[in-house]
Amino acid sequence: MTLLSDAIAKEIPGRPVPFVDADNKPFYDGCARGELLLQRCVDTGKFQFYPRPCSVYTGGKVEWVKSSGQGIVHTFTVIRRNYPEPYLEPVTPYVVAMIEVAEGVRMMSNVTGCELEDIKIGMQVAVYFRCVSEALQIFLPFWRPAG
Amino acid sequence: MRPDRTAVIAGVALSDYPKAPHLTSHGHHAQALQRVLEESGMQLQDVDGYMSVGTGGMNVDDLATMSEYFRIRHRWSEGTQTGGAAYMGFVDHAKTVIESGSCDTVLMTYGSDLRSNKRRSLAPKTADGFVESPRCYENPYGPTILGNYALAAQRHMYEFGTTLEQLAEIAVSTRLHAGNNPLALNREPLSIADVINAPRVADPLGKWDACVVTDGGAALIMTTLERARDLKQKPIYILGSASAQTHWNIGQMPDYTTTAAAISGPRAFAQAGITPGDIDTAQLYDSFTITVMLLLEGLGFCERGEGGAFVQDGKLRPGGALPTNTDGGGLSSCHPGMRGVFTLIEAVLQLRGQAGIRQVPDAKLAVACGSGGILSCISTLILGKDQP
Repeated sequence: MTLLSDAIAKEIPGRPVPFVDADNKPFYDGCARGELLLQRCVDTGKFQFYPRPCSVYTGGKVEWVKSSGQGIVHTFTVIRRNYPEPYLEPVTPYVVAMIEVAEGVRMMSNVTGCELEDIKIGMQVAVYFRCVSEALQIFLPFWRPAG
Repeated sequence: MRPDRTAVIAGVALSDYPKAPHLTSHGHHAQALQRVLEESGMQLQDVDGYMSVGTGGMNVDDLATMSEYFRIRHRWSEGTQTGGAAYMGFVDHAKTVIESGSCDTVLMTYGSDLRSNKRRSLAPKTADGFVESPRCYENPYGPTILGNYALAAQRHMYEFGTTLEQLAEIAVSTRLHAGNNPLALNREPLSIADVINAPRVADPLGKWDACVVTDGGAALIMTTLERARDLKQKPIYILGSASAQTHWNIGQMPDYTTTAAAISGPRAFAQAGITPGDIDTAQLYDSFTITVMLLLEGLGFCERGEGGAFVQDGKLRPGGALPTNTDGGGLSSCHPGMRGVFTLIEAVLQLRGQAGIRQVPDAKLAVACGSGGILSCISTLILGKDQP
């Protein structure tokens, strides 16, 4: 059995960090506060991810809404060898998953905090946040088994 | 009588592959150009349309740079970046332009020194330590290229019970074809056991589920049927052509087991007035084994989810019911970064009857299907030996 540590959910030398711009600043500010913020289409009430200043459903306005932070693993892979990102070699193996968030959007992330062998499509996960750049104070969402 | 402006493929050529340390990326374009002019009988000054597309990481130069490089005075040009689907999309667009009379003769070139030039990389450039939207929502989690495709493969296995052995059959059948291509990078036999016992790189995919890294280049010429009648090669007809896109980054894929081939495939087959069962040979972009399986399903060779059962009897192998990627594909022969153009050229060689020992007997109808991005943009061409 291999425990999936949260080593990937820490600052890793060489790993690029998100460039915070006008479109995604509310999202990353939310992460730093421990809140997962998603955009909701004002006209249809449907959610979207990633952040854009317009609705993918209508082209119209969007508003920021705090997510429940609950999700399920929609699909995943276990990265065992790294190409072309050698800076992640020290934290390999790790899991990359598409998380289906309760509000109906999917986002890529890492799942940690369980045995690698226990990762399954359909498993319930909850969001948590970690700082990946002390200097820039950038936090990212990660996921671990719920409950 | 008005001249017949039906657009046809009048010339195809490859540059040296799979290892060509003597050629730069530009050199691949140039060698392929010289070869396509020679084999088709076309003159460079006859070219009034040009198609080429750049990729930053692989330093494949863009359309405007390559137009300057060859000093082409084009009346029409095309450089839409849809990755490995671009070249099928180009043919689709050029057909319309030639038949409308906007230009007469369109050249396409491609070249990459991905293997020999170690400065090249498929990795996104993040020199300043930042990654911008929308890649910033995926890149920090370390998905890797193979891992992106593994997300689709894992979901396919979950939804449909697809097995590693069934995915492996695609690597094995492609390797058998490579054995018939003296130039293919990897020609030694490969067994199902070899594929599934190789170390996993990104579960559920392993080393032999992935394409090779090579050098390579290609050129293609399209013109009117009227003009092609005076040239050296038998023209190849474009019976159906269509493109579709569902997403670009893997995180935005709406359904991890359905690609845009399910849109562009049926449209192209409907235009051609044929069905997948009529196809003699398929040339399908094989970045990874799962890519081929999803394209087979999307194009309608089998139902969604039945790709595993479809391939496992060996019908993609030499002599099978649907010989697929007969040059050894990207999995075993040649993949310099954007493979699309090579599937197209192999289809043309098969339809001309010029494929040598790997010739599919009496091939009259072929499909060439390109997948660009991460299963994102899918362009489908139905090509024919005979005038419709």
